[in-house]
Amino acid sequence: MIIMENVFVRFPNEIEALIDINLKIGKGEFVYLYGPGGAGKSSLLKLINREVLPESGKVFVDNQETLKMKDRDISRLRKRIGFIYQDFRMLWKRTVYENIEFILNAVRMKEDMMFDRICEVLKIVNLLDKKDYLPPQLSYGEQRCLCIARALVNSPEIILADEPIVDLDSHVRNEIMRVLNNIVHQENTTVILTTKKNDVMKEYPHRVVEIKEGRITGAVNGE
Amino acid sequence: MGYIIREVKDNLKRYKFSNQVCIWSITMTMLIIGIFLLFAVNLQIVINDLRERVEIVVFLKSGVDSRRVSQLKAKINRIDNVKSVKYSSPEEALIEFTMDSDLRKQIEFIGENPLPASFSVHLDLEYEELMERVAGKIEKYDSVDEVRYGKEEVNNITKLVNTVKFSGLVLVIIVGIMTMTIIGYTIHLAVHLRGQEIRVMKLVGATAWFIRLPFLIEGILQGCVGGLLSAGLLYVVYRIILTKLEGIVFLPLYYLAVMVIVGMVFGLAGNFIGIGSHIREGRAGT
Repeated sequence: MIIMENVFVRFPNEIEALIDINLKIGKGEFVYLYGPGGAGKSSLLKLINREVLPESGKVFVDNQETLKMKDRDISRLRKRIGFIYQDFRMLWKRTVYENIEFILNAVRMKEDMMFDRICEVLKIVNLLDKKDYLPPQLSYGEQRCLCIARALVNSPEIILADEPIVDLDSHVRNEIMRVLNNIVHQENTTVILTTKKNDVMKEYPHRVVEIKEGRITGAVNGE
Repeated sequence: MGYIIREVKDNLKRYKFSNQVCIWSITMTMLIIGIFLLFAVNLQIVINDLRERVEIVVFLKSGVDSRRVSQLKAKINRIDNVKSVKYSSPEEALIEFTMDSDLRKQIEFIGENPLPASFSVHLDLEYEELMERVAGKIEKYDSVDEVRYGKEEVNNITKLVNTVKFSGLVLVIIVGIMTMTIIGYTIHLAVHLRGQEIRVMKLVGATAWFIRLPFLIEGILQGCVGGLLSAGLLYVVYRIILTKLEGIVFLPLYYLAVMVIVGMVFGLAGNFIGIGSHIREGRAGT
């Protein structure tokens, strides 16, 4: 369960990113954060993995307040989250395979299980034949796919997907949406996906939270 | 552990250039320290040699029998900080004296041996300041006619030793700060180049030690290689340049081992500090 109470976020340059955010997202829920660019969708995702901290208000992930977490708890929290970053955040000097392998090492998966699991997720995002490529050798869309594979690989409890299907061709886009929908249903994973377009929401209907200028403006309920 | 070793091995390849820069930085700065040590060790040898030459000469009254000589020798030996006492009979003194042809002529002119029996007294090193006190003590013994020591020489050596010690300490501090700054900044820059990678590792849930450990091992390896290279280069410098100066000795092996260990400590500390700011989690704001 993710709970945000009266959250206010101001960036160091004084810009108010999120204002008075109150939100509850239950376990196994699929939620769209819908709004235009700069609305605060990414900041809201980053609040959950504690990359952004609130100036006031509280954020709870499974009853643990993120602001009060110690370093070890922060690592534990992030291991439970798969984050598909809009700007990819890749390890540019490591191959596609190594980028994903790193996550599994961080969560201490047994080495003999790693290869199969990595190949499995790379197959989902159509990157299996490019596992030895370096990220700069991939196209923009493929880099996004790598980011998605990395987020999925350790079967996280929460997936935070920041505009994950932009620039993907329809086949991969559908495959990604199918995977995200499946893990919600089959593994009770919580998925929070930001989007600027509503076509995907029509195709795969779920709860929608609309954000504008840092405020939640509509469709909050739906648990 | 297998992952950490693999990670270190791969990182040394991935970040070849920045690793090389760190190693050379450590090598060059450790070489400066090594050259400084080489001079310090050789200067200490020269100072010790000078100190060895400083002695108290105790002239005995004429007609002191051998039993009294032995008793007196034992008495002097018992004085604190006396390292050695060497007896010289009038005959032995004459042989030594007449080695110089001018002095031999003077002795021949006199026609008999005018030289008295004497003791040469050496004190422990670093106790030259006590020479006056020891000489005063010996002077009071029966059978002692006169006690001489190079008071001015002793004062000069004491001053030289103090000056060398003080300037050595100042130099050690300056060279230490300089080398630590150079190595610190070089490693900091090398780690900074990997800042993005460290941030990504943090964001995917890697613990601080999981991220830090490969860096620290890399730092130790950089320091070890840098230390060994600096020891090797120092030997080359010694062979090519310094052997041309007579009497210059190379550093003892344990000094070289200390150089390698110091290099490793620099590498380790540099990486630990360098990575610290990237690893710390924000407590407020973003």
